[in-house]
Amino acid sequence: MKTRIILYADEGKVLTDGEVYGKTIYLADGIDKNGFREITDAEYESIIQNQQSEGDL
Amino acid sequence: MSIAEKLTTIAENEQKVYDKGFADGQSQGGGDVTKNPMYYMSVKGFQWQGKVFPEGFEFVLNVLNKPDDMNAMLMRTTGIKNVTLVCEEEGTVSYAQTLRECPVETLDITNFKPKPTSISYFAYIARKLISIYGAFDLSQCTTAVSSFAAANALEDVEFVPNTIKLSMGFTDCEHLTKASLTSIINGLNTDVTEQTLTLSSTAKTNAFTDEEWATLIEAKPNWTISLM
Repeated sequence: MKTRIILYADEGKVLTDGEVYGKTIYLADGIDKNGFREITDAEYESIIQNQQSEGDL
Repeated sequence: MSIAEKLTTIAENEQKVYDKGFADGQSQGGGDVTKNPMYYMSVKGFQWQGKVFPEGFEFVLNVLNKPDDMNAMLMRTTGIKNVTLVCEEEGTVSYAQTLRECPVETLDITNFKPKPTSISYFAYIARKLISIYGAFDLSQCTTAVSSFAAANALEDVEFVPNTIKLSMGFTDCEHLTKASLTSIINGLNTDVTEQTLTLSSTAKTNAFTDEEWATLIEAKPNWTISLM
């Protein structure tokens, strides 16, 4: 059985590498865990709001 | 009355009869034809964006030839409850924003053969959408941005195995069933790299034991899987 690296965000935080966001992240093979940092829940919500305010094609 | 006068009277009466008939037909038929959704379709192609349908409307599109696209086809409509799409012609078509902000509760694509080239914003803010019948084949899909963002009620969705090649998110879909989540995971293509699947942590926890989850995702080591 292969071992998969799992990252867990602290309470009130979200993990991100700038593209991926999550509270728990199961890394794919070859993905570097050091590329991830924590942001606050509020920061995450703000980012998502901005992303989804776009999108009219 | 002279013959000329009689002919004039007949002509005037004919027009009055016609006008009365037209008015009666219009009111009995549901109003101004230019406001009728089907009239709009006839001049605008497969496009009903923003149109008002009667409450509880059963929308069925059954066509011989696939649409050129279904971009924003039912975006921001009102009244629609269930949607059924039928087309036996193979090929591809864009599904971008098709159900965006549509009040639809169910979608049936069981007999809709064209494969999506895009599902970006497909069911974005389709907050009442509960069930999708029929499997999405995403093997030809090149964009899947926010496909199911804010589709908060979604429970049932299915994907053809190994066809999901692009990052996708179901963060807002807390009610996805175990079968749906399993289909999503099984749908992940085993050859792509640097792609991410994002799921609702609540949905995952409600559906799987830790052991079941570990076994399920073990088959997709090439995917980063994020829980929010």
